[in-house]
Amino acid sequence: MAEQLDKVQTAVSDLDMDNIAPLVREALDSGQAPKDVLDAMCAGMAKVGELFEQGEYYLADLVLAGEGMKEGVAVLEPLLAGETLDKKGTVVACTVKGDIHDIGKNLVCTMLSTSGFNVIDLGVDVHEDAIVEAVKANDANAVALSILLTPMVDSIGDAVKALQAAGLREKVKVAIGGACTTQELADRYGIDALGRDAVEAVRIFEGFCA
Amino acid sequence: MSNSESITGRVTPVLRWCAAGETGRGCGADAEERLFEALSGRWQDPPPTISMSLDPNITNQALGLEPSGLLETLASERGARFVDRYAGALNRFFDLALLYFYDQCAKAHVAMGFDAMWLGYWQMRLRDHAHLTDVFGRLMDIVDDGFGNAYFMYNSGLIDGPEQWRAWPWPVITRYASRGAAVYRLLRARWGRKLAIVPFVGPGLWENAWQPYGFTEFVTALRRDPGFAREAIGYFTMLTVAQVEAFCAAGARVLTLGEDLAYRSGPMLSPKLLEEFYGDGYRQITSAAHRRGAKIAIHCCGNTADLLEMFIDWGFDGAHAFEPTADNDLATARARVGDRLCLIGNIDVTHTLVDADREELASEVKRAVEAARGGGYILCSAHSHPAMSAERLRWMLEAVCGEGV
Repeated sequence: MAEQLDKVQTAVSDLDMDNIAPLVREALDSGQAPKDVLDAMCAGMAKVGELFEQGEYYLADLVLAGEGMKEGVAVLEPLLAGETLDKKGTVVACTVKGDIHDIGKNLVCTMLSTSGFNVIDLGVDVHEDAIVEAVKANDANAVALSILLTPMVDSIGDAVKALQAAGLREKVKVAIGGACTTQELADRYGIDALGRDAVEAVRIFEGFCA
Repeated sequence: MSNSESITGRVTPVLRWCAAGETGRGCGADAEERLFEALSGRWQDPPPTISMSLDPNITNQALGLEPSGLLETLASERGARFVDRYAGALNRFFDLALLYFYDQCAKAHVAMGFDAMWLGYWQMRLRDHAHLTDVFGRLMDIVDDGFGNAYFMYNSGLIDGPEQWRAWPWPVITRYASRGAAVYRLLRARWGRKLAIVPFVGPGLWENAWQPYGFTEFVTALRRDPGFAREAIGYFTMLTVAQVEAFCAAGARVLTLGEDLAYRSGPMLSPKLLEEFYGDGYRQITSAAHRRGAKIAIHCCGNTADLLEMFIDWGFDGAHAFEPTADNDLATARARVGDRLCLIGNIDVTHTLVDADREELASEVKRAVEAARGGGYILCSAHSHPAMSAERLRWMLEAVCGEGV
């Protein structure tokens, strides 16, 4: 029985995109519980993260793994409805106001979701008020702010100020990532962590929610 | 009036315009030669300087101008209605508007004292008062650069799949290339004695292939539909080769190719995939430049440490960016490539050229120049950036000449 789960895990970690969904179906047909199949997929994704950190995989491979995960999860989703899944924490993620780039943000969301976080993806060009609302509505532990373009860096400050004004800054940790982010920028706005890529983001948020 | 008189009548104002470039501290044709030498791997003392800072805010600062008011016009009710209605007619004047834009840029760069400036020819079209599209299927938002100037930001691709890609009205390659070369020829004629104009050929094979289509979609196509991916890359290879040939025929001896293959911690694609899908295209492009006696550098954002050997293998003579914020170390790059690749850039645009004091900036320039010794080096900002200060760009140039150190 475990062989079916191994196959699913390996298909994800080997980026065997065309076989992920069929192997998920096969595992379910063989009697595996949907939750176990999902765990196998997440284990495969964790391996992808390891290979990325070791320099074996590249950004595009993270994207492919994410797409493969989506196809596998689409098979599982109807069967997982109603199941309570343990989550490491809730992260509100977005690309900041004025910026509409979403490649990095999407990868962070995928990696966090597959690493056991409840991710509230607000999309791109997100106003600070929407971030505050989402943190309140979802009782979030942390906020992930993505930014590519330097002209929009003040939007990070606006988000932090809005969280402070709403009395939430002490409750939630904030991390930033993206092409124009630097430690100086993080220091300037009192950001808790700066992430270089989606795999590092997982470690940062695990640290936040430990 | 005879035909020849008619043509002369039309051409004379253009010639007059071309001859009217103003005097500056740059050295034009000589600068192009120094760039060429640097790209040949030879150290120049002091290193030549080039600018990719084509943001309106830099031009405005250098020339003492206010924002053009374009953004307010587009945002006003009347202006928006007018543009939404007449976008098609306004687009007929695209090349003229581009020529004016670059003319102002050149004037600003001569005033600042640069040796050279990039010229990117990229046909865009107003879609409505808030959006531009380009001929390659990209949708761009018109936004504020933070200083009251119109700035465009990639929004998404307009092409949904291979069928739509094949049906897209791609520009006729020779016509596109010759229009870019015409703009270059005019600017070179007007400013070439004071400032080397360096054509920026692009937007390249990688970005051009994925941006109209979407990043995830194109990366997935590389795996699931490699035939389509090769078709897309093949078209842009032919287009870029034609651009290189047209610019060289118009007199260019130094060119750059824009291609963001990396992000802040490394390449986006594995070296294996890059070679498999793009290697041949890049070799065709660099060969086209070399056959015509020109040198060509690649601009690539992000951490390029693992790509430098590939750049050399593909035939590039130089590489630009070396963004400090992406952990690029110029001395390490030099140690790795020796004199086989001219290094360009590495001056930070998030702090150094925005708000550093003169001493810090001079020390940053000195560090880069020292790190780059051992081969060709061209001093340049690590990227364009609207928040850069024209005064600091001047300090950068003075520092490299030893005036401000």
